[in-house]
Amino acid sequence: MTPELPPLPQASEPLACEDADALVDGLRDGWLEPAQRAALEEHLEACASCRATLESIDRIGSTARALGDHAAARVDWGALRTRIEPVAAPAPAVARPVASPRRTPSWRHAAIAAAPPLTPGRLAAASVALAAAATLAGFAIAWRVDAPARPAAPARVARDDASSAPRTGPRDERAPDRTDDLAASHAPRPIDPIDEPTATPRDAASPSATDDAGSPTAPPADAPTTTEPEAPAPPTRTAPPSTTTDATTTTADASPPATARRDRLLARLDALAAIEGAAAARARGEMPIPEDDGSGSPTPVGPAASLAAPSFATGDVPDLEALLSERLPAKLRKRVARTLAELDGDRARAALERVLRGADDADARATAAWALAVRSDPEARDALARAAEADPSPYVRNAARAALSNVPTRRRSR
Amino acid sequence: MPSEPAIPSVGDLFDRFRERVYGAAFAVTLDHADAEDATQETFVKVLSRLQPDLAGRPSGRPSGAFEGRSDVGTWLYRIAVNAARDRVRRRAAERARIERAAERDAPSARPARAIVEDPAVIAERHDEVARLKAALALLSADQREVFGLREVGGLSTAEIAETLGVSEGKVRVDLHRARRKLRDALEPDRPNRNEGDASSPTRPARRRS
Repeated sequence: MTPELPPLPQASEPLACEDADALVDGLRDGWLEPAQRAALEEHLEACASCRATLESIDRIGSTARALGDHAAARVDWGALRTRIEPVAAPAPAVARPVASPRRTPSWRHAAIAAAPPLTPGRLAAASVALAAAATLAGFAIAWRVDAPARPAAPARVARDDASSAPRTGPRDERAPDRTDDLAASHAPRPIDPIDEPTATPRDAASPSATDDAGSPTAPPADAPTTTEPEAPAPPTRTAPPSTTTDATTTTADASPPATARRDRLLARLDALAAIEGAAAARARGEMPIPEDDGSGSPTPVGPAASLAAPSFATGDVPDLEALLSERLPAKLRKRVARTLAELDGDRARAALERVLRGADDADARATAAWALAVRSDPEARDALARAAEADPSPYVRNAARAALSNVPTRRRSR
Repeated sequence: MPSEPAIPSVGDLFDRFRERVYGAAFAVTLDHADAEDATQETFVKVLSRLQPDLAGRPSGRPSGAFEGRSDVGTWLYRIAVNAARDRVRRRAAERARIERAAERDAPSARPARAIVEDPAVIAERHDEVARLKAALALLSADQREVFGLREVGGLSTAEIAETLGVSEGKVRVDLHRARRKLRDALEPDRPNRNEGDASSPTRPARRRS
């Protein structure tokens, strides 16, 4: 049974340290026979070294426990339960956090705001990607407005699509991050490939590389149930988005890579800004309603029309602080940060520095610090150093310090 | 507990086992996000196997369905561990891909962006938990899994054996070695046992190799 552990000692025989050492684990794990236990306890009485071993493994065990508990404390069980079994979701066993209901609907209205930039052709190159986002979200809205109260898995999927049309990668569809998770959830993998523009074809292929476990939270492959609430969508309406997405990818890839990439990033920022704008409008109690003009893209009405304005591409920089602040769901916020991190040029850097310097929201400042670190631009050192020294939040100071260690000094040593 | 007489609902299973399933997944991935994903995947799979009709599958006897053969807990842990291993593999592949892409894209690349660390991690750098996390990297995959399932996931050695499909003896040995490695890594200044400890009783005869 335990081939490499010592044989049972005779009860009368005193235990040697080497045998006691092997049995100490049994004391912790509860598999000792009574005779072994008695012998071990007798030995431990006399042997300080083996007692120390027992204390060590106990200590290491509780540290491991703490590690797990710390992680488990970050799980939003209510949201997870909802995603797992729509049928079981209404059960009151687990309380949903306050934040979730607020977030879920925000994407739905995104399209209303995201749509306007299309029509004037203001974002010539970017419009394709944006159109995809808008169309996707537009369709989502069109058949979802009548059931706005339903929280669930499908919302995540659709929201994701709405916010970044060109990607279909499998990762990062996990639970909406709680605020205190922000850094932990984005920092360890700053360049999650889903947001790399080049990731699309690769990621699209990757699920087949593994087994049916498929994508982390894209259950459709394995368990259609999670997407079931979406079933009411008329098939004709669900079809177009995917075609649009494909078209986007193809078109973009056809352009000169650098320009296309830049345009995609800009378009993504605009779409994110529009989403934030729509969320803000909702927060003000204005609920833009889409009108289907038959062309497939919802026409903005009321306040939605005015949300069309901000565009990073045209120099009309959206309110970055709002984009990086807590109002936007953590996932979208991360996307903004990543986009800014990848966007070359002084303007993006200056915008991030402004946020780092002046944003009221500590999360926004920390996110900006992170994005600046990823940019690795020596010009940002001053702003980071200032934040590392003087920011009122230790969280931001830490982030800035970490960022500084990643940003080379002005005279590039490399 | 022994096998369930009736097929439990996924909601019940979730409420009963969620922490331990997450713990098992976290034990393997050591990453919150991956563990959460694996937990979700576990219960989604459970749903499709327990209630195939609900999951839009043809009913009948789906393969891999829980039939009350084994403890429902270890059944769940096994799914969770597999989902978690899958994630660990994927993460490794992803990392390799990013590194390759970084090399290809930019010869004058910016210094590795991936080293930007989570501020929270930095803050707990000197923390015992962070040190343990680093020390876990020294273990073999088997040892790490077993240690994690036992200490993080709270599974018994018997449950771990059943979950992983190995003998309980192997679990105990791996666990023993994992703990000793961790102890040596975490408490390096601890006096080496069996050396000059006058108070320890020794038995001259039995010497195993």
